[in-house]
Amino acid sequence: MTTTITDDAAVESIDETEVAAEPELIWVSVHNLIPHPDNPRKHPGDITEMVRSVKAKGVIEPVTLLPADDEGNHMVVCGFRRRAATLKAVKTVPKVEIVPAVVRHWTRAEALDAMFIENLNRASLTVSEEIAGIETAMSLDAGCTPARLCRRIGKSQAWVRSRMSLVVLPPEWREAIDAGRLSVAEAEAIASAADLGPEHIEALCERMADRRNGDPAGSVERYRDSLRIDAEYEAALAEQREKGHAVYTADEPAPDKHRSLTALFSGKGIKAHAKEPCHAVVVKRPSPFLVGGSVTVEAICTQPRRHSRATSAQGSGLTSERATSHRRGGDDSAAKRKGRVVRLAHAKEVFGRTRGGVSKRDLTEAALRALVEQAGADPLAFAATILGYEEPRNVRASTLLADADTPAALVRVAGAVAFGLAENHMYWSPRACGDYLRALTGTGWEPDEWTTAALGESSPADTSEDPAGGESEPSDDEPEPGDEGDDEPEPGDDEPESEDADG
Amino acid sequence: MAEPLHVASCTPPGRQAVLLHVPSRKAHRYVVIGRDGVEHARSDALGVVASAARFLVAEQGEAWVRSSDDTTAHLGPGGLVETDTPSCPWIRTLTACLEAPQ
Repeated sequence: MTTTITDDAAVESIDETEVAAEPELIWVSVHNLIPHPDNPRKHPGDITEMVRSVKAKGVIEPVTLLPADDEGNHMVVCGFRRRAATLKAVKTVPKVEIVPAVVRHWTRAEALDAMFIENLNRASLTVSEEIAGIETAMSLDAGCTPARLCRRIGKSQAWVRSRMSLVVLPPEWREAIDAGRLSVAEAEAIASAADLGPEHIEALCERMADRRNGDPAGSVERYRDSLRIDAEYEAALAEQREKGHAVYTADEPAPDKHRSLTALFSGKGIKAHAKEPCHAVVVKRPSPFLVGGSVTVEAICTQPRRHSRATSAQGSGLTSERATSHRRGGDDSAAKRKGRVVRLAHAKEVFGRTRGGVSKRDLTEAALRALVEQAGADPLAFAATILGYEEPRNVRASTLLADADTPAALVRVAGAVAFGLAENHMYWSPRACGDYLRALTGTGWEPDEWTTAALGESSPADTSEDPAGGESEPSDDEPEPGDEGDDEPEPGDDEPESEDADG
Repeated sequence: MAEPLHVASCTPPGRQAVLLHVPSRKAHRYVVIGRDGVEHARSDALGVVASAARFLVAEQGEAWVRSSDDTTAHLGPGGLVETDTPSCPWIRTLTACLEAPQ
């Protein structure tokens, strides 16, 4: 007959027993074996093979038992699965009922350690069984810290700490780890958020189980951050509403023409604007991709026109102190567009003239200056290197243009900037830098291997092209605005090649 | 024999209430204190201190868990949790953990 004892008192009674130290080898009926209540293993798992083996040969390796209780029953310390297999086997093969056993006179703590070592080190327990085992071990003597417990059960402190930390997970989610819905790493990350409250643990478990990701700690961090931002956001909304401000958010956006107060006023003006009816605030959450960001509250004006100099007489008494930036920005954009249309129309008309248009010299100068002004920092640095500046990285377009005080110097500077632009493009599109490379090789430079390959790629179709580049004059049959009636010397006419050679 | 000093539920023995607490964003750190006023475990994992507290309750009959934000929970026999700050999230987690079926 199988008896099950689950009463803790029965277990405690074993602790109190004065016992001999020597183990005993006995033969015992499997029906007198009962599972130890502290055994972390609660389910035998698949024992089909073992049942077959027991039927054939009986139990070969002795099970480890505690001494018999008053009814002659032994608690099994090691042999939980062998007992289960024998109980199944004995139904068809009664002769295997008697099993060999070693009786060890262990205290409850020693027995638990043995069960742990037997099962944990085989890695055959489920995570929830491990957690339950750890909880039981913690309730026994001298085991209340991971440092002490790990020495007793032969596991690392990190392992013990990990399993202990999972104690805060609800039982159904511990089972989810066994079922593979949650990984141990995810469960550990969730357990680290225990200070948020049980409802957030539940929410995190749901979230992790739904969406697997490779960074559970980061997910928990983002979740924690989102809670903080939600709280900050609600507090900011409440504070601004309490102040009586109109509040706009991402869900309820501000009017299109609103302007930030910092774009309209300085310190005093911003303060004074708080009394205006057009005063409002925009409360913004930080980017969801930025952990550690904060909610921002931006003061805005919903009717910036009220503060422009032209209309302030009819609008507000508060006039924008930053009229220039204000005019640049938005309210006079119609005038800006109108101006552009007029300018472009006039330029079109001038370019269409055969006489009396923009002079060739002006066009050339505008083109060369624009080339220098629009170049980025890297091309400018390369150009400054070519031109022999001592600290090329510190050279700005304005410096180069200031130094280009003659048409010839401007051509020289613009040529260097063109080379700088080409150099800047070399790694990405050497094909587009053919002129630059041919200009270099045409002046006696022997290209390195990479440049040779790049030159091959750029393969000039017309080898007769002037390698110096920029020296050839536009052909006469191309329409040149202002070609006629222009007697002034032109930058391109000032023998730039000889200037270049001098430089 | 002198009567033992009465210890308020949520003040661990040998501890004084903190007069000024500066909130910080640092992670909580928990201490498990026994009836004798001795710190038995210290960890930032609530599960670790819950296990240690359960052990102390079994051994001494009661235990206190104090957080770095100066909130304290008193654990009595049967997993009964008492606190001055029942809405405190970590104490609610601890209560749920200790009340869950083993």
